[in-house]
Amino acid sequence: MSSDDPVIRLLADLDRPARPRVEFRDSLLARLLAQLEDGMGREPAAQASARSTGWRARVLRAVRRRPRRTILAFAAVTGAAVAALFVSSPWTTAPGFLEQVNAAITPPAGSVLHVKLVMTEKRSCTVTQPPFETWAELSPPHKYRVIDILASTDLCKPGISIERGGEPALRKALVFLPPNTLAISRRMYAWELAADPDPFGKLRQAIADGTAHLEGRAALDDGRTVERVRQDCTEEQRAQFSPCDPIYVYVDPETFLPVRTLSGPGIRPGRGGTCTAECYVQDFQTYEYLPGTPANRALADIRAQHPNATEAEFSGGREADEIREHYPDATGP
Amino acid sequence: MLAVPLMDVAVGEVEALGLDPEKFGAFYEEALPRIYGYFLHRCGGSKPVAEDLTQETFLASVSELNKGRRPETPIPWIYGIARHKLLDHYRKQARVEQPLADAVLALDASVSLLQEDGGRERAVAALAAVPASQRTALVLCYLDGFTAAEVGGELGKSTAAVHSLLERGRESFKRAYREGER
Repeated sequence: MSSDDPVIRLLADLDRPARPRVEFRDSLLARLLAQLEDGMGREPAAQASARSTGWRARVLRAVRRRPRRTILAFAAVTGAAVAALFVSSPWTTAPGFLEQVNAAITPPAGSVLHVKLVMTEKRSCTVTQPPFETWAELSPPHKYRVIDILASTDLCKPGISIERGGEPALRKALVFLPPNTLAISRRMYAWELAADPDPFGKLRQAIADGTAHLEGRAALDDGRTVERVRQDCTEEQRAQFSPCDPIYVYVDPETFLPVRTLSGPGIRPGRGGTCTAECYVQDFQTYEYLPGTPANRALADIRAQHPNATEAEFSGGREADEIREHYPDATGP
Repeated sequence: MLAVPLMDVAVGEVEALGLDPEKFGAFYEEALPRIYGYFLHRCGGSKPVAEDLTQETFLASVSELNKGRRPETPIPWIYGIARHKLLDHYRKQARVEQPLADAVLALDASVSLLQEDGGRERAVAALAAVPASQRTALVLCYLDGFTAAEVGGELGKSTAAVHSLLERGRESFKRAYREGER
């Protein structure tokens, strides 16, 4: 049977993930962990692994805190007063404004993307993470370097800054371990490929396909007046994540660059976009496209930044634990 | 790569699964949407059915882990469990359902099914309307990628019989899909 057969093509198109109800996800996981605990009673190694108190709640929280594998996982919130106060609400599609936003966030050919942001997460506690910064080549070989955050095992404490980078074609990521080692991580490779280096790639797509809407003027809690854009889920995202939550993007009306995003399952839609539960805020300090000069490309090259570092494999244990050993008191690399 | 969480468990390279609850949590997060989607689209888009089968699948996986099973490739492993749950579900349906009428619409061979709006939802509904035996063959061959011979081995049928099921299944699917636009 040829793949041109429309029946086969229709059927093949059905094979895709879907997000179940949050209640179902959590209740099933709780039940599975309870059963797993029964098995752990018979296996010393597993007992040791789970010896710390409250492990079941910790795993549940870890799954809950990643609503989807995108920038949402790291974002932030500024508190109960949250994000923004809606000043006016002329719901409009205003294509002119969105077109200017689109132009501002469309990269010139061969450029190097440079982004720096601060993320705050609000759950039962509010945590502001250390700054996150990345440089990414937007043309081959697509090298990238990230001042990343290794999350704390305690969700109410900020993570630590680490440095990593790589080149997709090499099928490995490099993590800088002070004083002078680049540890090869193949575990992170798949994540690298799945991720979009540009935080506003999806906003460009939303503007192009009409799922971005200008909602009106808003005042941020730091006094800035901005324009609020609601980025609805695409059909593909809805199919994959149901329910799918919109992202609110706050745009500087003069530069047309986003300065803040608000996202997460705890946002109450409508005027104000207030956070009622789990929400994330990203405050962008820098968003720029650097010319693709050798010096700027070197910023995206972790090897160029550490020319004398030695590449080595991780020792075989948990990579996160080994990284922490090299950044014991660090707030930055 | 921006703001992607630095994880200790990768997507396509999940390490051997055991009783470590944190590793299981990461595995669950990775596998749940896949397994739920697997059932949802093969069971008429019914969320209750998809939830039931997803739950059965994961409970069976933990039962295996508790018995000492340590799969080195957890994602394919749980897909295997899911496939058996799905086949059991189809078999139960086959016992109670009435076969569709044999009258087959004379379909234009050039019918352009893919260009129509709402195609995916209608395809899910159409697949659910196909008799269970034919649906099983369609799913195993065209979604799961098994050969007709492998499907025959799974269902206890000859390869020729599987080809016959596929042929009739395609016709049933087309008919149900076309009826869905009325």
